[in-house]
Amino acid sequence: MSDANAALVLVVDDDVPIRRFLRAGLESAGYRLIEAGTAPTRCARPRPDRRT
Amino acid sequence: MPDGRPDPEALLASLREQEATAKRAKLKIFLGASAGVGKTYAMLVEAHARRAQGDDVVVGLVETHGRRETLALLDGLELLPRRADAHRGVTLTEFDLDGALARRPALLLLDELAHTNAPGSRHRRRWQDVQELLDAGIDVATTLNVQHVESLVDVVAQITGVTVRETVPDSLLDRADEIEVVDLPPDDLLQRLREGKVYVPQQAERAAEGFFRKGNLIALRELALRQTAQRVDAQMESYRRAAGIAEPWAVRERLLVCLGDGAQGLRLVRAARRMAAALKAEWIVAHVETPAELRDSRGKRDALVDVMGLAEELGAEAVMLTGLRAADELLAFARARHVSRLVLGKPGRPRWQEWLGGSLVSEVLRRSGGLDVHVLAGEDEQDAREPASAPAAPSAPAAPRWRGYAGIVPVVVVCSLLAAFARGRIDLSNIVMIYLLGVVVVAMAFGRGPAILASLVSVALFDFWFVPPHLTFAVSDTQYLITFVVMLVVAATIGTLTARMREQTIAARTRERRTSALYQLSRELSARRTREGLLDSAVTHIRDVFGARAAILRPDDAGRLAVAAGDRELLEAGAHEMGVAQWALDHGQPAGHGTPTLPASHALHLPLVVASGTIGVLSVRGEDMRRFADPEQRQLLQTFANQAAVALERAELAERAERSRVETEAERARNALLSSVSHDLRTPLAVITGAATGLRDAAHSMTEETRAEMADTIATEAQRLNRLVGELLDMTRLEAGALTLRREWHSLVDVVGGTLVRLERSFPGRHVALDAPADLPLVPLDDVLMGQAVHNLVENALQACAPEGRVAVALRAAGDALEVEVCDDGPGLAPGEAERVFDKFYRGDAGRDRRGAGLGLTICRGIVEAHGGRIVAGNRDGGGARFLIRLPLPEAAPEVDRSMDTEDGVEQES
Repeated sequence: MSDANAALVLVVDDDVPIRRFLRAGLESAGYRLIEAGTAPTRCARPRPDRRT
Repeated sequence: MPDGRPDPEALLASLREQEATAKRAKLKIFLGASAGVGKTYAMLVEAHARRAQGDDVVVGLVETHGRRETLALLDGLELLPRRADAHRGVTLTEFDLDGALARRPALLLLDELAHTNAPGSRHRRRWQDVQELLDAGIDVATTLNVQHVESLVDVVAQITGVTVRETVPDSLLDRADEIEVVDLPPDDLLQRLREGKVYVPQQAERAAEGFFRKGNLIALRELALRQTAQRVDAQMESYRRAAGIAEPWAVRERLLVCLGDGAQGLRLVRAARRMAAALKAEWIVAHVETPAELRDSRGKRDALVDVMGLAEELGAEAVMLTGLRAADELLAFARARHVSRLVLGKPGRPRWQEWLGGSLVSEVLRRSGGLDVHVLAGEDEQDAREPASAPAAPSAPAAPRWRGYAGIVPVVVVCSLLAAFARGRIDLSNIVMIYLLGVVVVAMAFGRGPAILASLVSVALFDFWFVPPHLTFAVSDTQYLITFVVMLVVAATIGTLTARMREQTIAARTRERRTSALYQLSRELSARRTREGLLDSAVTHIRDVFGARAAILRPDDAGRLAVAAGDRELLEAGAHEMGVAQWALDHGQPAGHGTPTLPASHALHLPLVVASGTIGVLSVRGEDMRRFADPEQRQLLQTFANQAAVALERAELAERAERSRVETEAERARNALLSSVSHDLRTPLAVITGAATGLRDAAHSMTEETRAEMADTIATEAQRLNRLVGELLDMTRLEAGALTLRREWHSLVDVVGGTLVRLERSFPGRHVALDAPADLPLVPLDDVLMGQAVHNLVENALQACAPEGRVAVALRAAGDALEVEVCDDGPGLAPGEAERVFDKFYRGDAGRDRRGAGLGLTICRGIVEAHGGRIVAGNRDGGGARFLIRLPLPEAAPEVDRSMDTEDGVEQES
């Protein structure tokens, strides 16, 4: 689906359904995605190209 | 002002005064020395001039006395119809005050300011009508003869031999914006009289022989001119101030008129008014109530009330002081108020009385220090003034003085019998003691006068019975004369001291009663929280203390009075009393019985005045209304009214603060709701919209799995939205009290079990343990609502802990209640959160799932409390939160068919 060169998007939202919906939408659009429920959680993750 | 520039403060004050004068209605008085000088004529000429300028001029009432020139001037002027009242079979016409107030002309002409109104009028005097017209903003032009000026009554009586009873207070003349002297030389006036231009011939003849003598007219003319000259002087002073003319200011004089117990009060007050006016000084009239005055007759106290009333009418500050010695109190008051001159009446009592009882004048003179003291003529006078109060029943007889003197007889008889019995057994000196004891008894029981007489009688009897030669008043041994003198002096001294002690005791009791009554009232009022309770308490207290019916009236939004507490019948007797009370409210002044306004009323109406204005009226009516004419009683009632007014204002402020607090709280809740709704409604809506749009526009680029996930998201968020709206509706129903319980006997196990099954669908794979004993009794509840409450609790627990976390529900009977306990192993509640979790829109601190509107637990508590139960939150010992519902069990519960249950109870896993 999304290749390794696709832009990486960080989604931070405490609402799980919203994250799920965004994941579905963004991945289908070809983005790579990382999610976090809170801001500190994402600090340990790779640096994203875009943030939401 | 060394630089000669005007004082800015004085200029400012002058500007303020000019501004105030410009705003208020104008009063013009046409002042004359006597009837016939042409005052009414001059007033009508002025009316035509004003009318020619385009002013709306109405003739309220003009007496033409048949004079042709005056009648002619009425042509072209609008006449206000007179009011007609039937009185004892005679129809009397009178100025229609209400008609004038309704017509509201720019200028109203009202002849004869000093006139006494016909019975049934609102005010007794026309000058009071004028005051009300001015207060209503209507300019008034009126006429007045100088002999009707209150402070000149004595002088006029001295000149003419006629005591004028219809008087106008000087304060009204002071308030006049313009006084125009209408002057006519006495010879011309007499000529007019002879020509029949003043009175009809028969009247004119009588007038010329009586009042209209040339000497009288000259003197009255001078009085009128002097009165006006004083006013011109005042205007000049005012002009100098306004213009900032730098001249040395005279030290401000302040007079204190000391009213003694003599009958010269009225004369003294009038003389003091003239002196104060001449000195341009403030003046205070004071009277000291001493213990000795407690014995005064009602008539004497009524006279004092009249004098104080006159002083106030003439513009003085009337003050009632209390103390043991009048001179002490007056001098202390004079120094405290920076009085420059003391005015006293010449004592009218015989010298021996002064020697025995002391003299206020000599004591004040001796101790006045740097104060100037004026002693004015104070001969006894017959009251030349109508009583301030309405004619009342004859005064109740004061305790007869002879009774005290008659009381001596049994006492000295008993003393003489005792002495006779003791004769030969005890010394003569001890027999003297028996008589002294008798004097003490008389002093205690009847006061000073009888005690002194008892001393004399005792000495005489002692001489007659016991001093040789017996049974005569002769004295064989002259040494006995010393005994008599000493006995008399000692007896008189003891009697006087004892009597004084008695008076002080009575005074102390009176003060104590007054203080106690006030203390009781304050305590009662401060204990009351509601306005109604406070008003009831005040009325009850006033009723008890004064033995009179009382009511407190409050104005509605339109300013119309209605009884708020107390005896409604007191005011429902007729519209009249309510009208009087309304007047007291509108003008902020006492009205009704015993006051100058509407004195024919049966009740006394006192305005409840606070800093912000008049907030109501206290009305009292008793069998004996004369008690309210007593200064002490009136003062006490006024103090009660003040206390009630302050307490009422305090209660209203508290109510306003509470309303404000509730409004703030409601505003906070509204904001919280808006914040919650804006977030929690828009989030699922945004997700639904996004997912639906994605499916519509980009479904071709999505995998089957993604499409399914999008559809699933739409369904989940729609459910979430539905739940949120449901919670809001539930909350609304709970708060509106529209929640109706459909209670039936249910097994709590069934209700909770059903709820857990429903939750399985929302939280698939989550673990909820249910522990319930087999013999759990049935409980009357609304299964749908209670199921909702448990649902909210368990859902809250599941959201609070991690996906792998454990939630346990336990049911048990505990005494007279059933308990539902929901525990989780999440982070638990933060300190102080145990109560807040039930607040509306509270969504917890970090670490807990914050989805939802924050209403779930609030609704839960509402449902539980509607069942008569309680819910509490806390933390478990081992970590996690714990919620406990406690539902009361009725005494008789139906039997449970347990055939379907397991032997050990229920153990369910969801």
